[in-house]
Amino acid sequence: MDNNVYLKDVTISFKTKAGTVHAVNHVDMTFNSGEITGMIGETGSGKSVLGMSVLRLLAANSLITGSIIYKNIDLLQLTEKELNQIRGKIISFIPQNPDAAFDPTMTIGKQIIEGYRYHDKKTKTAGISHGIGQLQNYSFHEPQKTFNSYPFQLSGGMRQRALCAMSTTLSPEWILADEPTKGLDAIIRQEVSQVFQDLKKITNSSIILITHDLRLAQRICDTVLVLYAGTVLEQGPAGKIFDEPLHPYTCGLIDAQPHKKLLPLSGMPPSLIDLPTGCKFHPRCSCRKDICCLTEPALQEVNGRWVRCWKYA
Amino acid sequence: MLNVSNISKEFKSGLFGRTHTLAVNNVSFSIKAGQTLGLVGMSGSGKSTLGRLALKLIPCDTGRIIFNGIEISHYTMKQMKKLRKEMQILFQNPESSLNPRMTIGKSLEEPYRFHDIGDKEYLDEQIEEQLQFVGLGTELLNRRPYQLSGGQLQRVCIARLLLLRPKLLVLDEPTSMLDVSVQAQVIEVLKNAQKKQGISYLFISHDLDVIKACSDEIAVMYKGRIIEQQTAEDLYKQPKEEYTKQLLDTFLNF
Repeated sequence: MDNNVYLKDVTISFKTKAGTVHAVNHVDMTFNSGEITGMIGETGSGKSVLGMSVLRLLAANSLITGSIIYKNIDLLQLTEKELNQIRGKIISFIPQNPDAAFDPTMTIGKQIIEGYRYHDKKTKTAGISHGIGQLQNYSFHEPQKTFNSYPFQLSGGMRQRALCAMSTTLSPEWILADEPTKGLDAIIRQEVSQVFQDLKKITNSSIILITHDLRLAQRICDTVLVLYAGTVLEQGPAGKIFDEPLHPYTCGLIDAQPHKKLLPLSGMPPSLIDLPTGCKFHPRCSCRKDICCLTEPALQEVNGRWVRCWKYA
Repeated sequence: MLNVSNISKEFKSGLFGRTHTLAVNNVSFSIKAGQTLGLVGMSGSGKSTLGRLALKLIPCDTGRIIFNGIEISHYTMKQMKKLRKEMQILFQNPESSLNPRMTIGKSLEEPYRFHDIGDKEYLDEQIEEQLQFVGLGTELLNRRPYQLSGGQLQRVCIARLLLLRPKLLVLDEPTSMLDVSVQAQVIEVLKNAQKKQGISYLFISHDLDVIKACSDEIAVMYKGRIIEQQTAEDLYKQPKEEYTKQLLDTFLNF
């Protein structure tokens, strides 16, 4: 039995007053264990929703169909109680904003050992020594002092590291990280990327990285997944995707980077309530053909990766 | 256009103001008309404080600020009101720059009315023109901020500034909360606006790629001081200071 996470025909929608929002549409894929898998795409492309669905952390008005299989268990069928045994212990989540993720009224240490004591039913002393050791792993110079600090006393990079320490106290097999470098400056960003590479070494975990920082994805991911309007448009090894992107959308994203052409993609992402027919990217695509407006292409294997585009069909 | 010499700012905090932080320490720089000065540095190096000092949004302790040939360092807030429409700021987070209870149309009108620039008819015409310029349609006017995306909101903020025909804009991390593709759109709009209206920019960012793509000259800030200022090309080719070298290495080899 392998440790891969299999997504089978996963569709996620939200019921709102304005209509049903189709956030993720028929995603079929495998997250390979031992790898860092990056999910990239614009805001609203369904990256975070897809990531959070693995742990069923979505709002109450969400509707998930399909199945997410881990070790022959369908995570979508588990009860809340069974799921709590998995959350944090086997699959853990590093939320988006380290400033908001910590409780400001509790010390860092207390928050780090909270999950540890919940799952392993250990004594407080055991928890404390484990927590301090954990901070040491993430290269805090004075772990004892950090342990007793409040979140506001740490800098942005330190908070991100502390958050990683908190999410990995139980050495989970899978880690979901949501936008860990948003709004950070160059040096902290470098630190955070180091943290993720260390994370893989220290805990031997597999990581799903949700990000729109393309440089970060290029640097640390093994596999990359390009999402658009809740659909996978391209998927394959990171090096190949960034060096020679195939899908017009991936090309557009890469060209929009300031150190490349700084060329904006034309148009806006589609409304998720009223999705376009055919290929979801066709209204913004420069190489659009007649067939693109009518039928959605299937994921095709091209040069060792998967692309959803009529150009390669 | 803007000439700043030897300005400093110290913040006092804590009990009885016992903790002193020298946020900006004896800084001088100037921006030519229609040009962009990029300001880079790490979080906490004093970039944003310097931007606000230059606009006199906060008073400086020492130093002189000359805007368009007029010394404004000793101006009171009331005296600044006349100049205010010519020197404006664009903030990092568009979601908190607009009043959530006001429609986009009302938000666009507000500064225009405050500075009493023209009548309603002229205003409507101008709003339509500026919205079109930033790539938005007039159908947004009756919506509220939460109904728009981050990129759209930032463009609304830019349109609102352009209505005032400013001569100097401080752009305080205008794209750090946006996606790559939206970032490229916003930068394109800003560049076009500069070409059309000849605005000078003080572009504050920690993204060295963005700064390089936008600036004529770049100043590097470290612990409240500008340690180096060169043209964009020279700075990337031959940084003089060790800190700049490190910064460039960290960023570009990422």
